[in-house]
Amino acid sequence: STLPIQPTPSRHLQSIIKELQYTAKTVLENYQKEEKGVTERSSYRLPCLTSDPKPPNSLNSSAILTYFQTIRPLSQNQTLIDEIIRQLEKLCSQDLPKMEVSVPERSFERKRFIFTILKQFSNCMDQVVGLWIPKSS
Amino acid sequence: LAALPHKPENISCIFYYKHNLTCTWSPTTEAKDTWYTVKRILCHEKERDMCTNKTETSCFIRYPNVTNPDDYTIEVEAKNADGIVKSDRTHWCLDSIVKIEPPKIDFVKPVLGVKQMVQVQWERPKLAPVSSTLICTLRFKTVNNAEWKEVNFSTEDIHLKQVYNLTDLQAFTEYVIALRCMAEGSQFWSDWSQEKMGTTEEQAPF
Repeated sequence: STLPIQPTPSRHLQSIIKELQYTAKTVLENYQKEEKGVTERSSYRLPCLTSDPKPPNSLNSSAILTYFQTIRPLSQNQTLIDEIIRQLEKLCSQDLPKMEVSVPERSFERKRFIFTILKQFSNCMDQVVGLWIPKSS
Repeated sequence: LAALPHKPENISCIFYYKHNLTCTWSPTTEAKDTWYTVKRILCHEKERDMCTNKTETSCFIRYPNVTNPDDYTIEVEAKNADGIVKSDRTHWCLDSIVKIEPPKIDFVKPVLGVKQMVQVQWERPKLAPVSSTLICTLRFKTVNNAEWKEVNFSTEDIHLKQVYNLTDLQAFTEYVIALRCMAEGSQFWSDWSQEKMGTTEEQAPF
């Protein structure tokens, strides 16, 4: 379903999204180098957009934040994951209920899970940049 | 004789993207042993300490505990055996205090068939936020001239290698060129890049 035309978000929000898009791509590229041969699994789904068209609510940042808080202890490059967490925290309203994210037990399947989440997040941020940031800016 | 520490003043902060936020204050010396605590309050009021129990009058918080864009309220508390004195609260928007390192000019080369122009290939500084437009000033002069001329341009491109065409030059002349940039909205220019030389193409005989 296509979302209605978005109201232009503030410069602050646009900056957060640009920073998230860049860091998401960097984390994904780093993981692909570290874990060659790991493939995506479509049954793992990272929530991206909500039905609320108005930024920042149109990004499901609290659900995404939970995923990143879950994969943080499992990943080698925690600095970049920490940056993503901090940026997502800026988009989250503080009082949302916590959700649970379950992680596969077996090591290789766990890597597939992480790779899929990072891939979907990078795609999600490309989508959000396309929606939120007017072409000229 | 009881003597409270001086009130910390002249708080100054600089943000180095993906590195740290560095703050300094005065006075730099005190009669008695004095410890400083710097409190950083984020825009959504979650209070987070920045530096605690330090004796120097500077402190920095490392990335990723500081990420732009963000707005902070910063307060410095000075404490000695006789008591505590707090600074005024100061407010900082990271985008306005980001300082980037100088760009690097790769080369300056003439453009085939275009007499009065050179092409400047340069590298976007790594400490330049990807969310920032860069405002740049390119200065140039002929080698035997003391007076610089300047042109300004801006770029939203976040790729490392970038090109600027410098026009309206004299044909077959050697120029010295330097470049500096700032993140749009910041108060800090980078330093100037190293200077690079380049010569415009020779004028064809009439």
